[in-house]
Amino acid sequence: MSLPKIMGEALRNLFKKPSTIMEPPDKIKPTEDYRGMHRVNYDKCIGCSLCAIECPAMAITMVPIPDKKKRYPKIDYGKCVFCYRCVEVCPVNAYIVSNEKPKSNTKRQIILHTPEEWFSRKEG
Amino acid sequence: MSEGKYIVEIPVGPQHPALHEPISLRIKVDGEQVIDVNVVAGYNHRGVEWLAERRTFYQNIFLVSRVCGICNAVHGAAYVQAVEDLLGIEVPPRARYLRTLVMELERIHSHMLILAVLAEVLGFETLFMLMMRDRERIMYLKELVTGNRVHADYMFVGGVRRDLSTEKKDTILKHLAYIEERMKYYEKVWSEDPIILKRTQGIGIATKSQALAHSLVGPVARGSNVKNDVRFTDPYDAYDEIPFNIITRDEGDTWARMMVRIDEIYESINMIKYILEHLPTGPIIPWKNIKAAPRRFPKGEGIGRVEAPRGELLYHIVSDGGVKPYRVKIRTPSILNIHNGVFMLLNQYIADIPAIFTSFDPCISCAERVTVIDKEGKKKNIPWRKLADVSYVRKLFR
Repeated sequence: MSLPKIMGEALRNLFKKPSTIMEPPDKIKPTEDYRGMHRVNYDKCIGCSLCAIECPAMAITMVPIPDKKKRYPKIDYGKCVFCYRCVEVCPVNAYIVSNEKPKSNTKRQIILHTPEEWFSRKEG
Repeated sequence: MSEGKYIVEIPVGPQHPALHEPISLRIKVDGEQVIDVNVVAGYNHRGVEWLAERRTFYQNIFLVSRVCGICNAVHGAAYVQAVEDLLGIEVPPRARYLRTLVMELERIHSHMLILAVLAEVLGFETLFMLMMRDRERIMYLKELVTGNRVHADYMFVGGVRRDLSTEKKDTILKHLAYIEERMKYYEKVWSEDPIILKRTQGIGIATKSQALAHSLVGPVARGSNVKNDVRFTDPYDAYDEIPFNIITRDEGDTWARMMVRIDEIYESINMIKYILEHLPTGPIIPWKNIKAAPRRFPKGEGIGRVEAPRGELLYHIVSDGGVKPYRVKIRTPSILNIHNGVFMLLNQYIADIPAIFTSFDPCISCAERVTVIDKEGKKKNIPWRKLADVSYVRKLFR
């Protein structure tokens, strides 16, 4: 590259937006089909535990709920690899998918998705 | 010591600024020249093969994708190919083309990564930044097609997990045109920049006979004029229907290996354009939906063989008729290139070691399959026949 060309590029770069994106990474917009956070619609769930059997990261465990006969899946997003295998195998399509980026957090309550939370929110 | 050689051993790695991979090279030098190299591996052993024996066939698709972060779709494809070999499933044509599309996207970003990393190792950090910026577009395309920018999780037994819509085709072509234009500039830099040429040309030479004798694979072999490409010699997926050239070079040095990668990026771009033009219609999986995939696996074995960005990748699966594989054997290209390629480091200068070693495109976490811990320090000679007796295939089918 010749010197004038380099100078021109340097001047142009002064007024350009930077290529890097600063934290928080919310500004990075995932594509529409991005495999993001997924939730269970516990009203639809029949408690067959196929998702817990098929999960490659063993992030799903079936937990009993007081005054309910069935066991329901509990998702640990700390372990989840977002492969969407559970979404695929569910016989009643009980999983709700989104393209929301998974967030990291040190609080256990936030990275867990439990049936208790769902049912208590419904009642309250 | 006034007479004779004064030999010093220098450890390069496992934590070293030159190599961004956890591997240790014990280099013996006489002055500035390397006279002996001892590769010490085992810092990144994770026991993936052991884990694979304790998970079901379908869980393993996602496990083996995590063997390597860069070439995850290729690992998935090789495993899935082996399972299909075991089950005797025919893959629909659309799925074969889509698999090829994702694997070629992966080849482009893997080659761009190593070109950028070598530029950084040589001290050319601007080129590193520019190439990584453009590589992000390929990662975006991969996210568009598969759903995640790194871990594709795209392959499934019998086909692929997602279909490609027509709107996405235009986006892919638009970004590929940009990448092709930028690659022309990078090719000019790589073939004309005096610093890059001085640091890479004529060092780390492997002649054709040496490359064959040390069974090198991938771009390292093709840089030494060895026509070694599984896509051509043993076509899988849609490679027998897509026209492409094998890129080879005669020089056999570090520079030739990188130029092979640059030319392969052009080939991959042309292949993706061909795939998008000739994408067949039809199902992406041989069953009604993915839930109908077979649950019973017969007794037997299956082999999957693909050309990863780094070379030939082989999966061998042995099933004893249960839900879990009896054995999953993985042979990655980096094993050959790292351990057999050290002869190229001999009689070179210390300053060239990172450049030569990076040009192998080493992927350490791929390569670490076994760690041998010799507790008592006694060496044992195991005869060939005894080794065959403990072989897992013999044990199962005796």
